[in-house]
Amino acid sequence: MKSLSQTFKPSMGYAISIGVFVLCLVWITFFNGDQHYLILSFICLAASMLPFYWHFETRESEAREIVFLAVLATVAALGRVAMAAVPDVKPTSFVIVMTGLTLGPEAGFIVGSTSAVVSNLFLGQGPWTPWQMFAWGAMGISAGLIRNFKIAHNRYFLAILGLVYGFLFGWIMDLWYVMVYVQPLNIKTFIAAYLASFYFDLAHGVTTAILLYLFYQSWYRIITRFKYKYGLAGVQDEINQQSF
Amino acid sequence: MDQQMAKQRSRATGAVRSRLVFEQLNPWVTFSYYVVTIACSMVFLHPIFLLVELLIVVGVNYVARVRKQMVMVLEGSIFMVAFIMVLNPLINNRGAHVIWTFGGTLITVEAIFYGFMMALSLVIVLLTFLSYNKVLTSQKFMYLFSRISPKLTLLTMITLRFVPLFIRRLKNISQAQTVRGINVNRGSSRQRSIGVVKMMEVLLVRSFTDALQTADSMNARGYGSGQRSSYQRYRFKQRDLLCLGWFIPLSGLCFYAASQGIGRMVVYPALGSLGLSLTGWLVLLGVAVLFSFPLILEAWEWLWWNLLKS
Repeated sequence: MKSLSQTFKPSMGYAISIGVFVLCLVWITFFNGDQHYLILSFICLAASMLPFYWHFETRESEAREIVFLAVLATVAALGRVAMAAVPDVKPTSFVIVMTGLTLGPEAGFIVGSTSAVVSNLFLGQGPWTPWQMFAWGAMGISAGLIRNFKIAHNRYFLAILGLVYGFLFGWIMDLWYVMVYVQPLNIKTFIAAYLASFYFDLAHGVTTAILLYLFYQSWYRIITRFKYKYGLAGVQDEINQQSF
Repeated sequence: MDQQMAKQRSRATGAVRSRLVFEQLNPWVTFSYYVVTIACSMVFLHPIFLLVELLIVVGVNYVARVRKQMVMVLEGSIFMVAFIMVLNPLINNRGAHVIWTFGGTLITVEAIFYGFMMALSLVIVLLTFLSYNKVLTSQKFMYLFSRISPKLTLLTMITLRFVPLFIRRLKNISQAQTVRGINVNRGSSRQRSIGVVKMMEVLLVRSFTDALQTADSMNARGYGSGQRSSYQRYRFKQRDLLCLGWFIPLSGLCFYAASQGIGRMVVYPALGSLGLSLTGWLVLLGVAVLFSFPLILEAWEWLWWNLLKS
């Protein structure tokens, strides 16, 4: 039996995902698919995460890289699991944004979604798990995509970004119950849901902003140093050229 | 004293015996049970269906020994439940029976009823996940996904193992800091949080250094030199096949009935009747059997044991 990476090309995930989206559109347009928010939302969620997982799964990678990502994912997950003593501080988003900024979009996505799964294995899985995987993964990707701009390494910009991330994360996390359990879905519904979770989102955003402002430089230096120590720099160039 | 010891011992052996039959099944069977039950609780929107489902889920949780967590989950989810119950009537002005109006907003019986059903459905899903977390342990979770994507499973596995290790290291670091005169558990919440993140920085450096060794030892033992094999702890036995053999067709039938509109109460434009047709009652029976799958297994085992014993 040939290994997975030989059988499938790393970029085939994109093709599959685009195919799924086209099928979804056909379903919505011709077969009343928009009546089934729940199924549709899960399909879209899975299809939008598939290419990244596919790419990570099928490309060659060393043990060093996997362990490196595991350390970062653990530190991010610890932000939720071990910080019960300090209720205001959940540094998970901070760690994920830092990973994206230093190691690029793919690493950011993998660390974000893995830390969501693992922290939920300790805190309890629920219908929110896939949404958390998506939200934190997207956070890592977007942080990774902007890392080549000079402004992305400005502390004030990062603080604003942290605030925005806090709200975006909260809004994505509101979707899982609003989409299924509230009828009808219109703009009023979403505004009400976002108002209801305003305080939590604000707390999350402010925490992330403060942490990014205060600790950006030291964490950036640490992760970059270990990136070179582990010899991940070559992998880094490869990621830059291949994906995105 | 002796009695107490005996009691303790019996409790200990009880804990050993308390593994449900359901927990001994293949993870795929368990997983399909949870997929089907959660889908059922969202598809069959009818008060009788939902109440029966709720009762059975509470029973399953009772048998699965997650009684304390049940209360905790209900307390924790009260915010969402209240949100759904309040928001539905507020934003939804459809319905025939208006009971109250203020500022152009109509509060209708239908909308309140719908919100109530939706909240019930959410509670069922949340309670189902309680026994899910107990039954589908992380090991089984890994088993389910190790075939599909081995590399991600490896990453998750390593992360899962790192979490307790890092917590221990974090404790060591905080003890060392306390000896140095820096106490992260004191001061204002701002000082504390900054202290915690500083500790995590130390943890990060230390763990990166250690993890390099782990990675190199993985390489030395041949990681990436060939196709990965995986140890399969769970076999697919005859019993699993037997269980799936009736469970999957029955759930297929129930979902087919749901697609025909059975077990879905008409709420809008006017509240329909609560009653069920004959097929409705039959489908309700089917759904009840689906939900009580773990209880049936348990009862069967209990019966068998008592029949053989006598």
